[in-house]
Amino acid sequence: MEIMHQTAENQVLFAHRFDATADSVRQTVQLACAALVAVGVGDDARGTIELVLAEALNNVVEHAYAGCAQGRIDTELRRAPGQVRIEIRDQGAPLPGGALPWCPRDGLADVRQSLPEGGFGWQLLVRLTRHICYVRIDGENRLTLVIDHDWWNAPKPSPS
Amino acid sequence: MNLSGRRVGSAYVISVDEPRIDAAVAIQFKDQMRALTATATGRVVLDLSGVTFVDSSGLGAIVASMKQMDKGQTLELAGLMPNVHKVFELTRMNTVFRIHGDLDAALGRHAG
Repeated sequence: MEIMHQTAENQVLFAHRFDATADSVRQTVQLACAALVAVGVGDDARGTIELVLAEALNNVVEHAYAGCAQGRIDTELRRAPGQVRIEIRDQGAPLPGGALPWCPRDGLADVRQSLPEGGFGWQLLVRLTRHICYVRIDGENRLTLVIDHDWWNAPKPSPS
Repeated sequence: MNLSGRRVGSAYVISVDEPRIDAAVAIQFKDQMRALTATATGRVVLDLSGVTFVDSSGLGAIVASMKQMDKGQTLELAGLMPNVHKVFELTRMNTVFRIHGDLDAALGRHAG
């Protein structure tokens, strides 16, 4: 079991290309979750990865491809030592300013006064990931999200 | 996605027959909440015990549902599953809503 985990570095657990719609994001996230369950990822960790993936993909649909009917998104989930890596590529608009929005990891202001109905997405991404890397190359957005994950404590090894 | 409401004692309970409140159904959710709560008075309890996943759009729709209610109404939540509760904690929205362990807890002392 231990050896299996060591040799599984950077193994692609899931790869999918799909239309940039909220329905396709939902379907893709559910397929990714099935792939995670298949390699023994527990409920709590799966929930975290599920949320990060959904938030990042919906950002692409709502912002990069906003108002554009025919966008495509490529996404990959990789197993890396101590981590899960999510890679997302799209050909939509770049992030405003060419960079990730600033969002504090701690000390969020009291929200009761002016409750937002949006803007929770980046908050969740920042709080649930180890780091997020964004680059714009050749008209393409490439977003990498890294989530800490202890593969050693996975309940069962990869069946592959 | 379909929401249904029923009066239980002094509370109005809304159930969700959809395991995911996400970007794909957030607008529908908000619209149905508006329709259901239009005539309700007092406590409205949203039973989320059948919901396994809420993303930021779903959370935004739940917050919007509360904001669009009248002054005399309150929106309380019941039966949050662990991964749903986590979304409320991470965004501090757990401090904004009254959250009950389950529907019985929400209704227990108020149902009479």
